Amino acid sequence: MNTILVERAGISSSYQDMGRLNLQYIGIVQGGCIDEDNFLLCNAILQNNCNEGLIEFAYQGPKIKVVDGNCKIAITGDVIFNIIKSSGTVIKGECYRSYYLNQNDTLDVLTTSNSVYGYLGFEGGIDLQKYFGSVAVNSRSNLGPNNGKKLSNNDKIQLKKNIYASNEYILRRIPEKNRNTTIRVLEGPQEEYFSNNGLTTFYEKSFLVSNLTDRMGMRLEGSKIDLVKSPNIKSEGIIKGSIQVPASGQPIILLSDHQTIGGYPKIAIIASADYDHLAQTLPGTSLKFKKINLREANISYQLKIKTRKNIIASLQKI
Amino acid sequence: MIKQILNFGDQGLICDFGDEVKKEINLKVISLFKIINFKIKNNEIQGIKNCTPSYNKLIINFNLEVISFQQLSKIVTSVQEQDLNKILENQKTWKIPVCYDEEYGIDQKRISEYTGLSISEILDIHQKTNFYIYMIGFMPGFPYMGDLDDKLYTPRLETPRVEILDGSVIIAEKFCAIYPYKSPGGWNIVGRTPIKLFDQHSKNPCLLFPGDNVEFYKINLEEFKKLV
Repeated sequence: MNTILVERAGISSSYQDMGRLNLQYIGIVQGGCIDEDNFLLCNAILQNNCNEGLIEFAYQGPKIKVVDGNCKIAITGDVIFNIIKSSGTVIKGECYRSYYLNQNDTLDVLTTSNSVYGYLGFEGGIDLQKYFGSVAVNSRSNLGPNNGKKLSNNDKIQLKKNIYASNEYILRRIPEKNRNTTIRVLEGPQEEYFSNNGLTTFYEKSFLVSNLTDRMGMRLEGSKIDLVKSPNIKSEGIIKGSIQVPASGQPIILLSDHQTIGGYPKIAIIASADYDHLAQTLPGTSLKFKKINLREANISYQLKIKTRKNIIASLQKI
Repeated sequence: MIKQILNFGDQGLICDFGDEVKKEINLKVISLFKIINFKIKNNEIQGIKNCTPSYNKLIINFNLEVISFQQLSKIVTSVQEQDLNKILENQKTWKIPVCYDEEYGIDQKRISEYTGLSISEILDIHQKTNFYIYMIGFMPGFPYMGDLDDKLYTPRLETPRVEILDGSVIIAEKFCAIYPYKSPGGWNIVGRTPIKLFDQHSKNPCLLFPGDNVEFYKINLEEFKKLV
Protein backbone atom coordinates (compact mmCIF):
# COMPACT_ATOMS: atom_id res chain seq x y z
CA MET A 1 0.00 0.00 0.00
CA ASN A 2 1.14 3.51 -0.86
CA THR A 3 4.47 2.65 -2.27
CA ILE A 4 6.75 4.94 -4.19
CA LEU A 5 9.57 3.45 -6.24
CA VAL A 6 12.85 5.34 -6.51
CA GLU A 7 13.78 4.94 -10.17
CA ARG A 8 16.75 7.27 -9.80
CA ALA A 9 17.98 8.39 -6.40
CA GLY A 10 19.72 11.59 -7.49
CA ILE A 11 23.10 12.87 -6.38
CA SER A 12 22.67 13.22 -2.64
CA SER A 13 19.10 12.47 -1.61
CA SER A 14 18.36 11.57 2.00
CA TYR A 15 15.58 11.56 4.57
CA GLN A 16 15.77 14.62 6.80
CA ASP A 17 13.77 16.39 9.48
CA MET A 18 14.86 18.97 12.08
CA GLY A 19 17.42 16.56 13.54
CA ARG A 20 18.32 15.20 16.97
CA LEU A 21 18.59 17.40 20.02
CA ASN A 22 20.76 17.20 23.11
CA LEU A 23 22.93 14.26 22.06
CA GLN A 24 26.06 16.12 21.04
CA TYR A 25 27.67 15.07 24.36
CA ILE A 26 27.87 11.48 23.03
CA GLY A 27 29.05 12.58 19.61
CA ILE A 28 25.70 12.81 17.82
CA VAL A 29 25.23 16.01 15.89
CA GLN A 30 21.80 17.63 15.47
CA GLY A 31 22.05 17.25 11.69
CA GLY A 32 18.74 17.41 9.87
CA CYS A 33 17.70 19.62 6.98
CA ILE A 34 20.31 22.07 5.73
CA ASP A 35 17.82 24.75 4.63
CA GLU A 36 15.33 25.14 7.46
CA ASP A 37 13.13 27.66 5.62
CA ASN A 38 12.54 25.42 2.62
CA PHE A 39 12.08 22.36 4.83
CA LEU A 40 9.42 24.09 6.94
CA LEU A 41 7.66 25.57 3.90
CA CYS A 42 7.41 22.14 2.28
CA ASN A 43 5.64 20.70 5.31
CA ALA A 44 3.46 23.80 5.62
CA ILE A 45 2.20 23.43 2.02
CA LEU A 46 1.31 19.79 2.73
CA GLN A 47 -0.25 20.75 6.08
CA ASN A 48 2.01 18.24 7.76
CA ASN A 49 3.43 18.36 11.25
CA CYS A 50 6.23 20.95 10.90
CA ASN A 51 8.92 18.35 11.74
CA GLU A 52 7.64 15.63 9.37
CA GLY A 53 10.49 13.80 7.60
CA LEU A 54 10.96 14.45 3.91
CA ILE A 55 13.53 13.98 1.17
CA GLU A 56 16.33 16.49 0.84
CA PHE A 57 18.22 16.40 -2.43
CA ALA A 58 21.25 18.22 -3.81
CA TYR A 59 21.67 19.32 -7.44
CA GLN A 60 19.87 16.49 -9.22
CA GLY A 61 16.90 15.10 -7.28
CA PRO A 62 15.16 11.74 -7.43
CA LYS A 63 12.92 10.30 -10.12
CA ILE A 64 10.10 8.46 -8.44
CA LYS A 65 7.04 6.53 -9.56
CA VAL A 66 3.86 5.98 -7.59
CA VAL A 67 3.52 2.22 -7.84
CA ASP A 68 0.72 1.73 -5.33
CA GLY A 69 -1.91 4.16 -4.06
CA ASN A 70 -2.17 7.93 -4.54
CA CYS A 71 -0.30 10.75 -2.89
CA LYS A 72 0.15 14.48 -2.71
CA ILE A 73 3.61 16.00 -3.02
CA ALA A 74 5.26 19.41 -2.82
CA ILE A 75 8.71 20.63 -3.78
CA THR A 76 10.45 23.65 -2.29
CA GLY A 77 13.66 25.42 -3.20
CA ASP A 78 14.66 26.63 -6.63
CA VAL A 79 13.99 23.39 -8.49
CA ILE A 80 13.16 22.30 -12.03
CA PHE A 81 10.94 19.22 -12.18
CA ASN A 82 8.36 17.44 -14.32
CA ILE A 83 5.34 15.37 -13.49
CA ILE A 84 4.70 12.67 -16.06
CA LYS A 85 1.10 11.48 -15.79
CA SER A 86 0.37 7.81 -16.50
CA SER A 87 -1.30 8.99 -19.72
CA GLY A 88 2.07 10.34 -20.88
CA THR A 89 1.17 14.01 -20.40
CA VAL A 90 4.11 16.00 -19.03
CA ILE A 91 3.41 18.82 -16.60
CA LYS A 92 6.18 21.32 -15.93
CA GLY A 93 6.34 21.53 -12.15
CA GLU A 94 6.15 24.67 -10.01
CA CYS A 95 7.77 24.88 -6.60
CA TYR A 96 5.84 25.98 -3.51
CA ARG A 97 2.57 24.23 -4.39
CA SER A 98 1.18 20.73 -3.93
CA TYR A 99 0.32 18.23 -6.66
CA TYR A 100 -1.93 15.23 -6.47
CA LEU A 101 -0.31 12.12 -7.98
CA ASN A 102 -2.17 9.00 -9.03
CA GLN A 103 -0.89 5.48 -9.27
CA ASN A 104 1.65 5.13 -12.12
CA ASP A 105 2.40 8.86 -12.26
CA THR A 106 6.11 9.77 -12.25
CA LEU A 107 7.88 12.71 -10.70
CA ASP A 108 11.25 13.64 -12.16
CA VAL A 109 13.25 16.15 -10.15
CA LEU A 110 15.70 17.31 -12.80
CA THR A 111 17.91 19.86 -11.09
CA THR A 112 18.19 22.66 -8.61
CA SER A 113 18.80 26.03 -10.18
CA ASN A 114 21.30 28.56 -8.76
CA SER A 115 21.18 26.62 -5.49
CA VAL A 116 22.23 23.31 -3.99
CA TYR A 117 19.35 21.85 -1.94
CA GLY A 118 15.68 21.19 -2.55
CA TYR A 119 12.97 19.37 -0.60
CA LEU A 120 10.37 16.81 -1.64
CA GLY A 121 7.59 16.13 0.82
CA PHE A 122 4.52 13.88 0.90
CA GLU A 123 1.23 14.77 2.55
CA GLY A 124 0.86 12.71 5.73
CA GLY A 125 4.56 11.87 5.73
CA ILE A 126 6.88 8.97 4.97
CA ASP A 127 6.72 5.85 7.12
CA LEU A 128 10.20 5.85 8.69
CA GLN A 129 11.69 4.50 11.88
CA LYS A 130 12.94 7.24 14.17
CA TYR A 131 16.34 6.98 15.81
CA PHE A 132 16.86 9.19 18.85
CA GLY A 133 13.59 10.93 18.03
CA SER A 134 14.49 11.80 14.44
CA VAL A 135 14.45 10.37 10.93
CA ALA A 136 17.41 12.51 9.81
CA VAL A 137 20.02 10.44 8.00
CA ASN A 138 23.66 11.11 8.81
CA SER A 139 25.43 9.01 6.20
CA ARG A 140 28.89 9.66 7.61
CA SER A 141 27.98 8.00 10.93
CA ASN A 142 25.35 5.67 9.41
CA LEU A 143 22.75 7.16 11.71
CA GLY A 144 19.02 7.13 11.10
CA PRO A 145 16.57 5.07 9.04
CA ASN A 146 17.47 3.35 5.74
CA ASN A 147 20.53 1.97 7.63
CA GLY A 148 21.76 5.53 7.91
CA LYS A 149 22.32 5.74 4.17
CA LYS A 150 21.35 8.09 1.41
CA LEU A 151 18.58 7.06 -0.98
CA SER A 152 19.58 4.52 -3.66
CA ASN A 153 18.06 3.46 -6.96
CA ASN A 154 15.21 0.96 -6.55
CA ASP A 155 14.57 1.90 -2.90
CA LYS A 156 10.91 1.81 -1.96
CA ILE A 157 9.35 4.64 0.00
CA GLN A 158 6.30 3.75 2.09
CA LEU A 159 3.91 6.54 2.90
CA LYS A 160 2.01 6.78 6.16
CA LYS A 161 -1.37 7.18 4.49
CA ASN A 162 -3.21 7.07 1.22
CA ILE A 163 -4.40 10.46 -0.02
CA TYR A 164 -7.74 10.78 -1.73
CA ALA A 165 -8.22 13.37 -4.46
CA SER A 166 -8.58 16.72 -2.73
CA ASN A 167 -7.55 20.35 -3.12
CA GLU A 168 -4.05 21.31 -4.03
CA TYR A 169 -2.46 24.26 -2.21
CA ILE A 170 -0.08 27.03 -3.20
CA LEU A 171 1.97 29.66 -1.39
CA ARG A 172 0.89 32.98 -2.89
CA ARG A 173 4.05 34.53 -1.51
CA ILE A 174 7.33 32.70 -2.01
CA PRO A 175 10.83 33.35 -0.64
CA GLU A 176 12.73 36.06 -2.49
CA LYS A 177 15.69 34.92 -4.51
CA ASN A 178 18.74 35.95 -2.56
CA ARG A 179 21.76 36.69 -4.74
CA ASN A 180 23.71 38.41 -2.01
CA THR A 181 27.32 37.21 -1.89
CA THR A 182 28.17 39.05 1.33
CA ILE A 183 27.55 36.75 4.27
CA ARG A 184 27.04 38.19 7.74
CA VAL A 185 29.12 36.66 10.53
CA LEU A 186 29.80 37.19 14.24
CA GLU A 187 33.22 37.29 15.83
CA GLY A 188 34.61 33.81 16.49
CA PRO A 189 35.73 32.61 19.93
CA GLN A 190 39.40 32.34 18.86
CA GLU A 191 39.96 35.64 17.08
CA GLU A 192 43.20 36.13 19.05
CA TYR A 193 44.73 33.16 17.19
CA PHE A 194 44.85 35.31 14.03
CA SER A 195 47.19 38.16 13.16
CA ASN A 196 45.76 41.56 12.21
CA ASN A 197 46.72 40.70 8.65
CA GLY A 198 44.85 37.40 8.93
CA LEU A 199 41.70 39.15 10.14
CA THR A 200 41.99 41.78 7.41
CA THR A 201 42.36 39.04 4.80
CA PHE A 202 39.25 37.29 6.11
CA TYR A 203 37.06 40.39 6.16
CA GLU A 204 38.32 42.16 3.05
CA LYS A 205 39.20 39.47 0.51
CA SER A 206 36.82 37.21 -1.38
CA PHE A 207 36.73 33.44 -0.93
CA LEU A 208 35.65 30.86 -3.45
CA VAL A 209 33.29 28.04 -2.46
CA SER A 210 35.21 24.91 -3.47
CA ASN A 211 33.91 21.60 -4.84
CA LEU A 212 34.88 19.98 -1.54
CA THR A 213 31.56 20.92 -0.02
CA ASP A 214 28.91 18.60 1.39
CA ARG A 215 26.42 18.37 4.29
CA MET A 216 29.36 18.30 6.71
CA GLY A 217 31.26 21.35 5.63
CA MET A 218 32.07 23.93 3.01
CA ARG A 219 35.72 24.41 2.10
CA LEU A 220 36.70 27.84 0.87
CA GLU A 221 39.68 28.85 -1.24
CA GLY A 222 41.37 32.21 -1.22
CA SER A 223 44.25 34.20 0.23
CA LYS A 224 45.91 32.42 3.13
CA ILE A 225 44.61 33.57 6.52
CA ASP A 226 47.58 34.20 8.77
CA LEU A 227 47.56 32.61 12.23
CA VAL A 228 49.74 33.96 15.06
CA LYS A 229 49.36 31.14 17.52
CA SER A 230 49.56 27.39 17.08
CA PRO A 231 46.81 26.25 14.72
CA ASN A 232 45.43 23.87 17.34
CA ILE A 233 43.17 24.70 20.26
CA LYS A 234 41.94 22.43 23.03
CA SER A 235 39.16 20.56 21.28
CA GLU A 236 35.74 21.97 22.09
CA GLY A 237 32.09 21.72 21.05
CA ILE A 238 31.13 22.92 17.59
CA ILE A 239 28.03 24.84 16.53
CA LYS A 240 26.93 24.78 12.90
CA GLY A 241 28.14 27.74 10.91
CA SER A 242 31.50 27.85 12.74
CA ILE A 243 34.31 28.96 10.45
CA GLN A 244 37.51 27.16 11.39
CA VAL A 245 40.92 27.84 9.94
CA PRO A 246 43.47 24.99 9.96
CA ALA A 247 47.20 25.49 9.36
CA SER A 248 46.66 25.74 5.59
CA GLY A 249 44.97 29.12 6.21
CA GLN A 250 42.00 28.11 4.05
CA PRO A 251 38.72 28.40 5.98
CA ILE A 252 36.19 25.59 6.40
CA ILE A 253 32.59 26.42 7.31
CA LEU A 254 31.04 23.63 9.35
CA LEU A 255 27.56 22.76 8.10
CA SER A 256 24.67 20.75 9.59
CA ASP A 257 26.41 17.31 9.75
CA HIS A 258 29.56 18.77 11.33
CA GLN A 259 31.74 16.80 13.71
CA THR A 260 30.64 17.47 17.31
CA ILE A 261 34.06 18.49 18.65
CA GLY A 262 36.84 20.28 16.84
CA GLY A 263 40.35 21.48 17.52
CA TYR A 264 40.95 24.27 14.99
CA PRO A 265 40.60 27.95 15.89
CA LYS A 266 37.36 29.57 14.76
CA ILE A 267 37.72 33.00 13.21
CA ALA A 268 33.98 33.66 12.94
CA ILE A 269 30.55 32.04 12.89
CA ILE A 270 27.77 32.57 10.34
CA ALA A 271 24.86 34.72 11.55
CA SER A 272 21.82 32.41 11.82
CA ALA A 273 19.86 34.66 9.46
CA ASP A 274 22.33 33.88 6.66
CA TYR A 275 22.98 30.17 7.30
CA ASP A 276 20.36 28.72 4.89
CA HIS A 277 21.43 31.11 2.16
CA LEU A 278 25.11 30.31 2.67
CA ALA A 279 24.50 26.54 2.58
CA GLN A 280 22.63 26.96 -0.71
CA THR A 281 25.60 28.70 -2.34
CA LEU A 282 27.02 26.84 -5.33
CA PRO A 283 30.68 25.83 -5.58
CA GLY A 284 32.54 28.37 -7.68
CA THR A 285 30.72 31.32 -6.07
CA SER A 286 32.86 34.09 -4.64
CA LEU A 287 31.85 35.15 -1.11
CA LYS A 288 32.77 37.99 1.25
CA PHE A 289 32.22 38.15 4.99
CA LYS A 290 30.86 41.07 6.98
CA LYS A 291 31.05 41.24 10.75
CA ILE A 292 27.90 42.20 12.66
CA ASN A 293 27.27 42.32 16.42
CA LEU A 294 24.97 40.16 18.52
CA ARG A 295 22.18 42.74 18.53
CA GLU A 296 22.21 43.08 14.74
CA ALA A 297 22.29 39.29 14.40
CA ASN A 298 19.27 38.92 16.69
CA ILE A 299 17.30 41.52 14.73
CA SER A 300 18.15 39.92 11.38
CA TYR A 301 17.14 36.49 12.67
CA GLN A 302 13.79 37.77 14.02
CA LEU A 303 13.18 39.28 10.58
CA LYS A 304 13.91 35.95 8.90
CA ILE A 305 11.44 34.14 11.18
CA LYS A 306 8.80 36.81 10.61
CA THR A 307 9.24 36.59 6.83
CA ARG A 308 8.85 32.81 6.95
CA LYS A 309 5.66 33.14 9.02
CA ASN A 310 4.24 35.62 6.50
CA ILE A 311 5.02 33.25 3.65
CA ILE A 312 3.31 30.36 5.45
CA ALA A 313 0.28 32.59 6.08
CA SER A 314 -0.09 33.07 2.31
CA LEU A 315 -1.03 29.40 1.76
CA GLN A 316 -4.22 29.08 -0.30
CA LYS A 317 -6.29 26.44 -2.04
CA ILE A 318 -5.72 26.42 -5.78
CA MET B 1 34.58 27.86 38.59
CA ILE B 2 33.39 29.46 35.36
CA LYS B 3 36.00 32.04 34.33
CA GLN B 4 33.87 33.75 31.72
CA ILE B 5 30.64 33.44 29.75
CA LEU B 6 30.76 34.44 26.09
CA ASN B 7 28.45 34.30 23.14
CA PHE B 8 29.33 31.93 20.31
CA GLY B 9 27.48 33.36 17.35
CA ASP B 10 23.83 34.31 17.92
CA GLN B 11 22.65 30.90 19.14
CA GLY B 12 25.59 29.77 21.23
CA LEU B 13 26.97 30.32 24.73
CA ILE B 14 30.43 29.35 25.97
CA CYS B 15 31.08 28.65 29.65
CA ASP B 16 34.84 28.89 29.87
CA PHE B 17 36.53 27.19 32.84
CA GLY B 18 40.06 28.40 32.05
CA ASP B 19 42.90 27.06 29.94
CA GLU B 20 44.02 23.95 31.78
CA VAL B 21 43.31 20.38 30.76
CA LYS B 22 42.82 18.76 34.15
CA LYS B 23 40.45 16.17 35.49
CA GLU B 24 39.39 18.44 38.39
CA ILE B 25 38.36 21.18 35.97
CA ASN B 26 36.67 18.79 33.54
CA LEU B 27 34.63 17.30 36.43
CA LYS B 28 33.17 20.77 37.03
CA VAL B 29 32.34 21.12 33.33
CA ILE B 30 30.53 17.79 33.46
CA SER B 31 28.73 18.78 36.69
CA LEU B 32 27.45 21.93 35.01
CA PHE B 33 26.45 19.86 31.97
CA LYS B 34 24.45 17.52 34.24
CA ILE B 35 22.80 20.42 36.05
CA ILE B 36 21.73 22.04 32.76
CA ASN B 37 20.56 18.69 31.37
CA PHE B 38 18.50 18.13 34.51
CA LYS B 39 16.87 21.54 34.02
CA ILE B 40 16.11 20.66 30.38
CA LYS B 41 14.49 17.35 31.37
CA ASN B 42 12.42 19.09 34.06
CA ASN B 43 11.32 21.79 31.63
CA GLU B 44 13.03 24.45 33.72
CA ILE B 45 14.80 25.64 30.57
CA GLN B 46 13.37 25.51 27.09
CA GLY B 47 14.98 26.00 23.73
CA ILE B 48 18.27 24.18 24.27
CA LYS B 49 19.41 22.35 21.16
CA ASN B 50 22.66 20.98 22.53
CA CYS B 51 25.00 21.19 25.44
CA THR B 52 28.52 19.93 24.72
CA PRO B 53 31.10 19.43 27.46
CA SER B 54 34.79 19.39 26.49
CA TYR B 55 38.06 19.56 28.46
CA ASN B 56 37.55 23.06 29.82
CA LYS B 57 34.36 24.40 28.27
CA LEU B 58 30.65 23.81 28.17
CA ILE B 59 29.19 25.05 24.90
CA ILE B 60 25.43 25.50 24.75
CA ASN B 61 23.57 25.80 21.45
CA PHE B 62 20.17 27.41 22.00
CA ASN B 63 17.17 28.27 19.88
CA LEU B 64 16.96 32.03 19.57
CA GLU B 65 13.23 31.82 18.88
CA VAL B 66 12.75 30.46 22.41
CA ILE B 67 15.51 31.85 24.63
CA SER B 68 18.04 34.68 24.43
CA PHE B 69 21.74 34.75 25.26
CA GLN B 70 21.00 37.08 28.20
CA GLN B 71 18.32 34.78 29.65
CA LEU B 72 20.55 31.72 29.33
CA SER B 73 23.55 33.55 30.85
CA LYS B 74 21.43 34.35 33.91
CA ILE B 75 20.52 30.69 34.37
CA VAL B 76 24.14 29.59 34.01
CA THR B 77 25.47 32.20 36.44
CA SER B 78 22.82 31.22 39.01
CA VAL B 79 24.43 27.77 39.33
CA GLN B 80 26.33 27.74 42.62
CA GLU B 81 30.00 26.85 42.95
CA GLN B 82 29.09 24.28 45.63
CA ASP B 83 26.82 22.44 43.16
CA LEU B 84 29.69 22.11 40.73
CA ASN B 85 31.89 20.68 43.47
CA LYS B 86 29.49 17.89 44.37
CA ILE B 87 31.05 14.57 43.54
CA LEU B 88 29.50 13.14 40.39
CA GLU B 89 27.16 10.25 40.92
CA ASN B 90 26.98 7.19 38.69
CA GLN B 91 30.54 7.51 37.48
CA LYS B 92 31.39 4.07 36.25
CA THR B 93 34.69 2.30 35.75
CA TRP B 94 34.64 0.18 32.62
CA LYS B 95 37.01 -2.78 32.12
CA ILE B 96 37.58 -3.05 28.41
CA PRO B 97 39.25 -6.09 26.80
CA VAL B 98 41.96 -5.38 24.24
CA CYS B 99 43.74 -7.72 21.87
CA TYR B 100 47.31 -6.42 21.72
CA ASP B 101 48.44 -9.02 19.13
CA GLU B 102 50.69 -7.80 16.34
CA GLU B 103 47.84 -8.17 13.91
CA TYR B 104 46.02 -5.26 15.58
CA GLY B 105 48.68 -3.42 17.60
CA ILE B 106 50.39 -2.19 14.46
CA ASP B 107 52.10 0.87 15.95
CA GLN B 108 53.63 -0.79 19.02
CA LYS B 109 57.07 -0.82 17.38
CA ARG B 110 56.82 2.85 16.51
CA ILE B 111 55.87 3.70 20.11
CA SER B 112 58.71 1.52 21.37
CA GLU B 113 61.24 3.28 19.11
CA TYR B 114 59.97 6.71 20.12
CA THR B 115 59.76 6.08 23.88
CA GLY B 116 62.70 3.68 24.28
CA LEU B 117 60.46 1.26 26.22
CA SER B 118 60.01 -2.39 25.34
CA ILE B 119 56.65 -3.47 23.94
CA SER B 120 55.82 -5.41 27.09
CA GLU B 121 56.58 -2.34 29.23
CA ILE B 122 54.31 -0.26 27.00
CA LEU B 123 51.41 -2.72 27.26
CA ASP B 124 51.96 -3.03 31.00
CA ILE B 125 51.72 0.73 31.52
CA HIS B 126 48.69 0.93 29.22
CA GLN B 127 46.85 -1.72 31.27
CA LYS B 128 47.79 -0.21 34.62
CA THR B 129 46.48 3.24 33.73
CA ASN B 130 43.10 4.31 35.03
CA PHE B 131 41.84 6.45 32.17
CA TYR B 132 39.34 9.24 32.65
CA ILE B 133 36.88 10.19 29.88
CA TYR B 134 37.14 13.96 29.39
CA MET B 135 34.58 14.05 26.61
CA ILE B 136 32.87 12.06 23.90
CA GLY B 137 32.60 13.38 20.41
CA PHE B 138 34.09 13.99 17.03
CA MET B 139 32.02 10.95 15.96
CA PRO B 140 29.30 9.07 17.91
CA GLY B 141 30.75 7.27 20.93
CA PHE B 142 34.40 8.35 20.48
CA PRO B 143 35.94 8.82 23.97
CA TYR B 144 38.79 11.29 24.59
CA MET B 145 40.61 9.72 27.53
CA GLY B 146 43.53 10.80 29.68
CA ASP B 147 45.98 10.99 31.08
CA LEU B 148 48.42 8.68 29.43
CA ASP B 149 51.66 8.11 31.40
CA ASP B 150 54.28 10.64 30.22
CA LYS B 151 56.60 7.73 29.46
CA LEU B 152 54.29 6.68 26.61
CA TYR B 153 54.18 10.15 25.05
CA THR B 154 54.28 9.60 21.26
CA PRO B 155 53.28 12.17 18.64
CA ARG B 156 50.66 11.52 15.99
CA LEU B 157 51.69 9.96 12.68
CA GLU B 158 52.93 12.51 10.17
CA THR B 159 50.62 11.13 7.52
CA PRO B 160 47.27 9.91 8.84
CA ARG B 161 46.10 6.45 7.73
CA VAL B 162 43.24 6.32 5.28
CA GLU B 163 41.45 3.66 7.28
CA ILE B 164 41.63 2.49 10.86
CA LEU B 165 39.56 -0.52 11.95
CA ASP B 166 36.61 -0.01 14.26
CA GLY B 167 37.50 -0.87 17.85
CA SER B 168 41.11 0.26 17.39
CA VAL B 169 42.62 1.46 20.67
CA ILE B 170 44.85 4.41 19.93
CA ILE B 171 47.22 6.76 21.73
CA ALA B 172 48.75 10.11 20.92
CA GLU B 173 50.46 12.67 23.14
CA LYS B 174 48.77 12.43 26.57
CA PHE B 175 45.55 10.84 25.33
CA CYS B 176 44.03 7.48 24.55
CA ALA B 177 40.89 6.80 22.49
CA ILE B 178 38.91 4.06 20.78
CA TYR B 179 37.45 4.28 17.28
CA PRO B 180 33.76 3.25 17.32
CA TYR B 181 33.73 3.14 13.51
CA LYS B 182 36.14 2.56 10.69
CA SER B 183 37.74 5.91 10.08
CA PRO B 184 40.79 7.69 8.78
CA GLY B 185 43.14 8.72 11.58
CA GLY B 186 46.63 9.70 12.63
CA TRP B 187 46.93 8.26 16.14
CA ASN B 188 49.15 5.31 17.11
CA ILE B 189 47.30 2.00 17.25
CA VAL B 190 48.15 -0.19 20.28
CA GLY B 191 45.43 -2.84 19.93
CA ARG B 192 41.79 -3.53 19.19
CA THR B 193 38.74 -4.13 21.35
CA PRO B 194 35.83 -6.37 20.30
CA ILE B 195 33.45 -4.19 22.35
CA LYS B 196 31.01 -2.12 20.34
CA LEU B 197 31.09 1.44 21.67
CA PHE B 198 28.14 2.73 19.71
CA ASP B 199 25.08 1.02 18.20
CA GLN B 200 22.02 3.00 17.21
CA HIS B 201 19.86 -0.15 17.41
CA SER B 202 20.78 -0.84 21.03
CA LYS B 203 18.76 0.29 24.06
CA ASN B 204 21.88 1.95 25.43
CA PRO B 205 23.44 3.12 22.18
CA CYS B 206 26.49 4.76 23.72
CA LEU B 207 28.44 2.60 26.14
CA LEU B 208 30.63 5.28 27.70
CA PHE B 209 29.84 8.70 29.17
CA PRO B 210 31.91 11.77 29.90
CA GLY B 211 33.28 11.50 33.45
CA ASP B 212 33.46 7.67 33.43
CA ASN B 213 36.73 5.79 33.91
CA VAL B 214 38.21 3.09 31.71
CA GLU B 215 40.77 0.34 32.36
CA PHE B 216 42.06 -2.03 29.71
CA TYR B 217 42.91 -5.73 30.06
CA LYS B 218 44.60 -8.09 27.65
CA ILE B 219 42.84 -10.83 25.70
CA ASN B 220 44.30 -13.10 23.04
CA LEU B 221 43.27 -13.30 19.39
CA GLU B 222 41.00 -16.32 19.97
CA GLU B 223 39.14 -14.59 22.77
CA PHE B 224 38.87 -11.47 20.61
CA LYS B 225 37.27 -13.43 17.78
CA LYS B 226 34.80 -15.05 20.18
CA LEU B 227 33.72 -11.67 21.55
CA VAL B 228 33.24 -9.89 18.21
